[in-house]
Amino acid sequence: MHGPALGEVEISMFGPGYGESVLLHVGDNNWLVVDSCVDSSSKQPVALQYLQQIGVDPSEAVKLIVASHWHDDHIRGLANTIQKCPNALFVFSSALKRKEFLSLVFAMGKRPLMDTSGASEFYSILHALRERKNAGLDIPRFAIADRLMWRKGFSHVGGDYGCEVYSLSPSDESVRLALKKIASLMPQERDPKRRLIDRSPNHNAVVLWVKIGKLSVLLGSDLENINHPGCGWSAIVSSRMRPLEKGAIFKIPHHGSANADHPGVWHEMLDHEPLAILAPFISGNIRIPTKSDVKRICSRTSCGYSTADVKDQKPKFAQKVVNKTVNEVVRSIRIVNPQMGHIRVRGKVVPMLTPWDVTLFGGALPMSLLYKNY
Amino acid sequence: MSGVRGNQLNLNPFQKPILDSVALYDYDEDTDDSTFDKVFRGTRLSDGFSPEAPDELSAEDFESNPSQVNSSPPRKSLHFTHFVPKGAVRSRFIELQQWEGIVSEVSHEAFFARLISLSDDKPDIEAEFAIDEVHSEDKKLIHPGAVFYWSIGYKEDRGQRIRASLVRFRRLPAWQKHELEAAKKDAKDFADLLEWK
Repeated sequence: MHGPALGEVEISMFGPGYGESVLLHVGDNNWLVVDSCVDSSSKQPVALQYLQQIGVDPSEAVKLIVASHWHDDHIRGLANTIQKCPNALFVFSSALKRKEFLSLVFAMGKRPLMDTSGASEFYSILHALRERKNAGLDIPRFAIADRLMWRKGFSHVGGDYGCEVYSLSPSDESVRLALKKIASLMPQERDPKRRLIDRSPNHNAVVLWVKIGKLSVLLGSDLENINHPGCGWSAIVSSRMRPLEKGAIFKIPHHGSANADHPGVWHEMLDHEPLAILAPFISGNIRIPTKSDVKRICSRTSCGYSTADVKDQKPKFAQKVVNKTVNEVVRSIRIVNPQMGHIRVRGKVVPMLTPWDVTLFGGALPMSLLYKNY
Repeated sequence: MSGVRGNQLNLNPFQKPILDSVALYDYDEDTDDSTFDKVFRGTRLSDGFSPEAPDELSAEDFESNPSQVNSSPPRKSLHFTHFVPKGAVRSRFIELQQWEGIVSEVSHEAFFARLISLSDDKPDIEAEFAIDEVHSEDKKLIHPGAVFYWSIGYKEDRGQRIRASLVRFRRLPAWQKHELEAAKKDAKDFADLLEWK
């Protein structure tokens, strides 16, 4: 596997079924990492693993790392990524620097009960940020609606172009509501200790607008809608401060759920038939995108791709007696994240936009094939 | 605690265990499942039990020493430990497979959990259990975020061998005021250090 040419743009999205990470090459070996998930075999952040596979040194090449929010399906391996990329600016939501969130992280994340959770990963991130501060490296930047987070110019034979990264969320009102919600997650005296699980609607995630020459990419994170015009996608669509170009590539928010869909995004912020990518989310009774989500997305664009299928794979145990007992005891069983999927999009932005070259790896597949033979 | 668990014969970690891929737990018939509770509740077999850390993982001990509870032990360090109670050995459990589970969703009659194998390096699995699979004393512990252990094996008792599935929930101490105050202080100190307003 080889990397993109210096003047070539790449958008890679990884996701095994629970977790996602987006990696962008914006030119001249400058890479941006948005969110993180880990490879189930190597336990390494999948974005860094891929960069190493194509011969890129992450410590030199990664210039921006974004934690769009703190849920563990978006930040596993992010502390490791921050530590291995000293040249990168770290960006996260302005709500997460507040005492409400930091207290939650120090309470829950300092003592992980099992495996990793969003809070324990963020605890490691705070540790990494303290090390950075001590080493005199860049301090993080805090994302808020309509803020320029990073920019860089590139010069090529085809022409000069620039890259700018804007955060389109969270709005001030979203931050206020998020802090209220986060405070409610803080345990109280005499509450039993448990792992932190937050499945509440996400209206605080950091949505990014990435301009690379004439190309605009909308990365929707997990932002959902709530019944409040000052929050979620309604606030972004109605903003007069956001970049007004239209996006050609769209990371569909919140795994394609209906609650994260806003018709105004498709009509006002995106080209006709944009290239749309998503990572599914499968956990417990939740399986998104649903069949109707897929139908809705496919009605809006014929160029949709998913990093993974939503079909279950049953585990098989070496000992027959274990297999037999498992099947007698549980109502249903499946392997978590059986295969990492990767959607890779490459193209040129100068002297003009070229057609996108889309390549699918691992479990990735066209959106129209989701739920086929299911 | 030591009276219940009895003498411990710790195998040398470099010594081949008596049986491959099984762990043996001998317990007195009189104490039966209550002994099992002592072994399973609040502990994980992968912790191992070494002479340097004797009797460290009872439910009672969790109350007095929460730091033991909260440390996250390494996942792939299964030690084979053979417990021999002080009384006559009449029953034992031969473990074939064990998982550590965390509850992710709870409905009226079932719950979903993510399961991490403590017996091998197999990928994590997710399973749905009927609440009736859980001991009546543990049902009140079924909440999102709760941790439990699921073991499959054979229970041997007076010449009989019974295939068994055991689900035991971990009993964790409640949050204490000083822990919550410490978290808030750590948060403030961190924000001051990084000059976050």
